[in-house]
Amino acid sequence: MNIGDIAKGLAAGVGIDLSPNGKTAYYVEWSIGELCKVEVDTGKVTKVLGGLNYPEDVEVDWDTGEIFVSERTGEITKVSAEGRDVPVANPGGAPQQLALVKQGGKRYLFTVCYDSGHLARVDVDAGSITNFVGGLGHPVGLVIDANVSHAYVTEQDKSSLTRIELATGSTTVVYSGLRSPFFLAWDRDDTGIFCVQRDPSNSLVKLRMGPPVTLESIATGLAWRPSGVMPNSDDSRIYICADQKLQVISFNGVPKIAPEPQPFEVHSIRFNYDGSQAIALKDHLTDDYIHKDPEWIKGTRDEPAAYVRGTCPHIKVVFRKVAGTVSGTYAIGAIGNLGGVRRKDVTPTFHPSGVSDPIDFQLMWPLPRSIGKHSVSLEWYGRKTASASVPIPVGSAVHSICTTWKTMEPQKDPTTLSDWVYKMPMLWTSEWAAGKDNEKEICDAIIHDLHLSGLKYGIGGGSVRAILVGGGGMCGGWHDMFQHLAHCQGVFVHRRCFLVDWRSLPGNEVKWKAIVIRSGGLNQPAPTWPAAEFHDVDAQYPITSTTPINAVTEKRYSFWGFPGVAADGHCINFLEYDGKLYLYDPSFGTGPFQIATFGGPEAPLPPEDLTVLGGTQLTSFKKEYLDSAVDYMLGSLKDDADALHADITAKTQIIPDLAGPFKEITFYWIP
Amino acid sequence: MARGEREQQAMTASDSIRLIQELLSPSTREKREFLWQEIRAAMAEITKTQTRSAEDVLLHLLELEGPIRLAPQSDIPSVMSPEDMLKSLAIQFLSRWTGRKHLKALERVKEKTASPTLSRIAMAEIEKLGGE
Repeated sequence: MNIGDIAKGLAAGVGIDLSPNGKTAYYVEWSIGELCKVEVDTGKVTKVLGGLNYPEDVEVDWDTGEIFVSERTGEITKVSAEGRDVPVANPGGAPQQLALVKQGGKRYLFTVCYDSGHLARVDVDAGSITNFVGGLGHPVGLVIDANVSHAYVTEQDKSSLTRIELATGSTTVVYSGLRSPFFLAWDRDDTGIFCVQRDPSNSLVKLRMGPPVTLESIATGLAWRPSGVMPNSDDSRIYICADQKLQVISFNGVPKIAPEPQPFEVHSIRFNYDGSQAIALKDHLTDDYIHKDPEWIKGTRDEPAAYVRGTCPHIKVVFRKVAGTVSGTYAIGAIGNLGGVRRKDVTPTFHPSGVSDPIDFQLMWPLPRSIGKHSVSLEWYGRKTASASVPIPVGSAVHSICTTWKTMEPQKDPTTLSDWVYKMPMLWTSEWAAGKDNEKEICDAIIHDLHLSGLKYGIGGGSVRAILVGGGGMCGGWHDMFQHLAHCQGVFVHRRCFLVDWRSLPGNEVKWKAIVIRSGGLNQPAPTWPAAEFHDVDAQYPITSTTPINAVTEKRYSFWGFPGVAADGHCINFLEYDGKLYLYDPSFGTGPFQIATFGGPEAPLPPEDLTVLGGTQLTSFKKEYLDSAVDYMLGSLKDDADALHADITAKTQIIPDLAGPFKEITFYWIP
Repeated sequence: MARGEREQQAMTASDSIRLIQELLSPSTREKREFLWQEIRAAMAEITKTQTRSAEDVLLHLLELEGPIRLAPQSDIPSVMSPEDMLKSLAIQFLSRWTGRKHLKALERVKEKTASPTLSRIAMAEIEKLGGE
């Protein structure tokens, strides 16, 4: 047994019918509403009719040459001799597979209706409809037995093959345990039913009618989403209509489809253009937009694109003439792992340079409705429309496409946010936050995986671009970076810096001069600064004349305030989500820390205007975050004997919010 | 040497002004590496008392263009670049010392800077002065 491709480039192929001589197969393409036929030994395809409304199945009366099509919208139509579709009847309810039965001088089309759950019979010539039975669970496939006494139906809800007695309407599940069963076809001696399954292995099985009914696997590894099945007269070839291919399962050799000369090739693909829905990306090295040139140029360029999830992008494709190019109209499209590109008839004209103008195409299906970084394959083909022709490959590529959570909102912080983002943050966040579905989950995923960027804390880099170019930065850049990363996914986070409030107190006491941090920060095993001597107070506050003061020489970061004005400190981010406030510290890759609001429901966030907060205003901030993030506060402290100890590093955890009315730790706040 | 001792290293006002002037000179700035610790100490000395020369130095700092080269063993300010941190200090002291006298210069910094944090500090000072 072999599986071979007869025709590639189907746009959601579904139902199929095969001529009695086994030479011609008709099939319908759901996405683009076309009915086509293919000579199965040559692979030559001809479009028969377009403009159908989501066709599900095709059934040919081979005696009269009439072609019937069921449509998702409820209609059953007939293709007239003039090549137009003529309504036959409208059973509604999304008719699926058709079965033509001739009985008593009449022609009946049986069908099952996916939405309504009916088994219906249409008198083809009278147009009347008879419903035999209802209540089927999303039926799809249908065959009628030779003496028209029973119908066999695949029910999606029950994963079953169900038998319906036409005289009484009684239903019996004769086999359960199918996996996403689709269309059906009788075998050559009417003792078994072929059933296509859209299971993960894309399979064809045969149900031997018994009794008991048993299952036999015929083939696995068919093309993605197989729907229609039709064997030839001796079952030596079984044709399968799948999403993007028409295939044959053959027991006597697969037809050799002779390739036709390539008419042209795909030269470039532009995802982002004026009016497109693509998110603008910039390269951090050049600071240029990625889309200043097409994102993909054959052999020379391969850049990513990004869209909000669920977008169905249009793209601009340029073709290049090749030796032997024959001008004319071609049906051009692409197959691919996310559905490919919607086929359309195009007459490319080539400039003297050999390339065409950009031609608009649209992806077949919307991009996934979740955050992700996708490798999207496109295998382009062109087929001459003037006569029966084989679809010819004209180029292929795999594109990196990100899908984001929501549209970006740069207006929420115009100082730092724009309607574009850098490429790498987009790629990272689309991977890290894949499948996440709310602001908090997204920010949590970003902070969790931030180290995977390889970027570091503790080296110069005060902006998003500087961090990307230099490989790292300090907190002023990092809180911009975290905001930028969240912005890629359409999530807004606030920026805040808390700056050391250097307060000189009577007797040369100072609270505080600096914050001191022992951790190295993101992707740094230890602080990057040289070791220095510190005088630590770890256990007792306020200090006394007997408080142990430990001289320690080690690498630490110290960020210094300045007498009387705001200077250095640390920068973080806040997310407001579900009435709660979460703090993220990208410099150290930590968070979320849930913080009680700083000013009650009216003003949950710290101020933006250098206002100083301290004491109980910082209780939650200190307890949930500062005590673990900032190891020491450096100041000059007096002991209980009024002796001054210059430059003591007091453990943050042991410093209370208040000493009487005095606010022990205070910070300036600014974005 | 302890952190605090490093901070307390005495610099005279004239030494401090000289250091900042070197830092303001493009030719010196290209040749010399600085320690952020010494720059900060110089700024602390300069801003101890309002003098004409201190005011001039701070005004010149607002015009600082180009990066300061810090030595490998130098500290680095965290919330802003060294250049922006110096401008931030200059803005705040000029605002406290001279009120609206240099408002236009402060506004120019706010307009020109690429640092959102410096811009916000400048804005806060300008708003205090009743500008814009």
